[in-house]
Amino acid sequence: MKVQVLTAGIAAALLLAAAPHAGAQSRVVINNVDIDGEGLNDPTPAQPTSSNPGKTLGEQRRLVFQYAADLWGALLDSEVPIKVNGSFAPLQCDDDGVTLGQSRSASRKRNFPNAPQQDIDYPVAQASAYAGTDLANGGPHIELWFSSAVDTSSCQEDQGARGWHYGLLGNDDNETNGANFLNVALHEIAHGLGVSGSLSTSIYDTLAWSNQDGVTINALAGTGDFDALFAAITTPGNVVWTGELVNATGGLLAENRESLVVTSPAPARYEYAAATFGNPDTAAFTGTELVLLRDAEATEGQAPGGSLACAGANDSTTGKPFPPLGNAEALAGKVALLDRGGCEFGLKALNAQNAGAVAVVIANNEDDLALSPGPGAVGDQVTVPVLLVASSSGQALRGDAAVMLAGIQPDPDRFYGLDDDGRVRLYAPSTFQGGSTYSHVDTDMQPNALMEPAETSSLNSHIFMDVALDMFEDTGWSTNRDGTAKIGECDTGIPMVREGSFIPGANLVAQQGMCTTAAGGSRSRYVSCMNDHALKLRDVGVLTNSEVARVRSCVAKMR
Amino acid sequence: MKTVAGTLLVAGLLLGGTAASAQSRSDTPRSKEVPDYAAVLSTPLVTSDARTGRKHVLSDAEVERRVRASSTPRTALDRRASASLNRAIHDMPATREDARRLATVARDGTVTTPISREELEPVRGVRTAEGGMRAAHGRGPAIEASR
Repeated sequence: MKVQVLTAGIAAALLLAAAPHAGAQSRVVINNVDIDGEGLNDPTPAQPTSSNPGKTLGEQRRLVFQYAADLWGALLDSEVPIKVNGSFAPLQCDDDGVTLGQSRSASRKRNFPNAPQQDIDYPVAQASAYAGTDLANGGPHIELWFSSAVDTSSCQEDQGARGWHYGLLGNDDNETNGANFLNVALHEIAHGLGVSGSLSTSIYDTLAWSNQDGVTINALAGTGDFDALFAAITTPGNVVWTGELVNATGGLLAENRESLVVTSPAPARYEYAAATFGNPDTAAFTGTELVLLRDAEATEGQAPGGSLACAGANDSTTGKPFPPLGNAEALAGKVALLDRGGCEFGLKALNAQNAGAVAVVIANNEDDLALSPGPGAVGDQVTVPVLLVASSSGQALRGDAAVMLAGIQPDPDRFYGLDDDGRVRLYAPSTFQGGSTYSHVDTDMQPNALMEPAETSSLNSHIFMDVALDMFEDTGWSTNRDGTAKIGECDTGIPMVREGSFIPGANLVAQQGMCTTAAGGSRSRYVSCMNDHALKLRDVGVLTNSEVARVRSCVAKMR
Repeated sequence: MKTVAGTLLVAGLLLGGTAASAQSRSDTPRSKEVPDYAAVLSTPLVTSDARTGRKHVLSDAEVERRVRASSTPRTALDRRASASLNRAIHDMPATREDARRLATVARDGTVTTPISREELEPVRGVRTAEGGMRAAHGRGPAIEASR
């Protein structure tokens, strides 16, 4: 996140924070449905860490699970306790894949008492909050299952899985480099609470908007124009969120989109995806000429070339070797433009680098940027920067006239994750993906969001909720945004939610349960745990010194 | 797949006119063992024919066949530890249209619609370039590709 964006956004965010909301947190209750000795009850000894004092695998899982529940409980307002059936089970871990979890809302409700809109479906937890009574008839509102298998040596050794990270401080202390269970649990609970499209008449569907049709997904489904509906949800960037709070926060947080800028023969900008190998420093593109790499004309026994730069590899279909580069001398000191296909990205880039190119642009064979070029077998030898552009961009860049690059520059008017009207894009990949399509924020969003379909290592959802809480408010959930964190009966005055979607108060509320466990009945250890945690929050800029003092004051009053 | 097949797929999602199976909540007695869905979650439990849009709901036998074909054998303990998930999935209606057919109306007018298996989207483990693992729904984000 860019500091200046955050700073500029504080005033506006404070205005949002001043909006009136009922201010009573809710209780999210985890119902452990695992059998003795398994999953959440696994007695296998575990090493306590600085952020998770659990002494067994089961205890560490329970602590993080409850921490996630307490975070949402501190942020949402429901008089009806939200009941979550939770389990860690040996989910699939074999040659066909590794499954980490599964979640669902138990049901959808419409036309219930106090329903804000008729004939619109709400998840049962939200419907119960509106009704002021439990509409689940004693059952759970949400069900969550997570993998216990990935914590086993067999799954790790046979399938290359990594065990869950059970820490509570983001990924700085993620030594296993496994999936961050707190982030994943927060994400899955959010699905169960309502961040989920139904291709029908859910409240979520009334807020998802198809730009190319000019109507909501709810309305589009109602027309019966299935071709249009399918096109809408499988056109990347087309479906956006219309809720005001999400878009206000998105506008504050989203980073300027960077593009490859061309100065001649005509000024132009091209979006790109950076490779996961090569030099991340893109300075080599600045003021440099772009030259189309050409393979030597293929001779008998060779595979056809073009601009593939696959010398050293064989065509996988014919078995014939690819030709050498045909214009290697023209690439020295230049940026090489070449095409995807035929061989690995790493080999292409290495061939261009060996010819003297200072950077590489690869034109995709599809007109999107839905992948990041990976290194393959030899990409670790590439030391120049490597980018992928869409096929149409590649076509535009290969004219007869010389192409001069101004470099990689931020676009002042366009932002990652937003459409041109500043609305947050929902995930709409070109291939329909069941319950994932448009039930997530687009992967294009920068900074990364909790409700993107994939977890990223930069997520710090224990202290930063990006647009996730706003999604709930836009769908009508009452939140505790203007509430403050209590420690015991002592009000710290620290806001649950602060500018830029930070959640210092909610974090302190959740931490109390953790410190109670860590203390094991010792008051002095509890005090030490809470005070140490407040300092950690201060060190990452989430609490001020005066707020740390207020935490200390409240903790000292605990008996 | 923005084609006739795509149209049919979504039409099937919404209307159910092309669903091959009216399978809904199973009649399996609660005391009887249900299929071990937990062992095959990475593959869809309801699939659609890309050409016709016709849906196919995996039968109990098909699920168990997949379980037996798995490279990782399942133990009796695995099944017992997965019982809550297996029972929950087994009791779910298979398709969205099955779920709509099973919607109930209470005396106060509240309509309850169950969630279908078709709507499930498991979280998968995706290996990263650095040798780690991250969680992703569906195919996940812009996946790294080597070629």
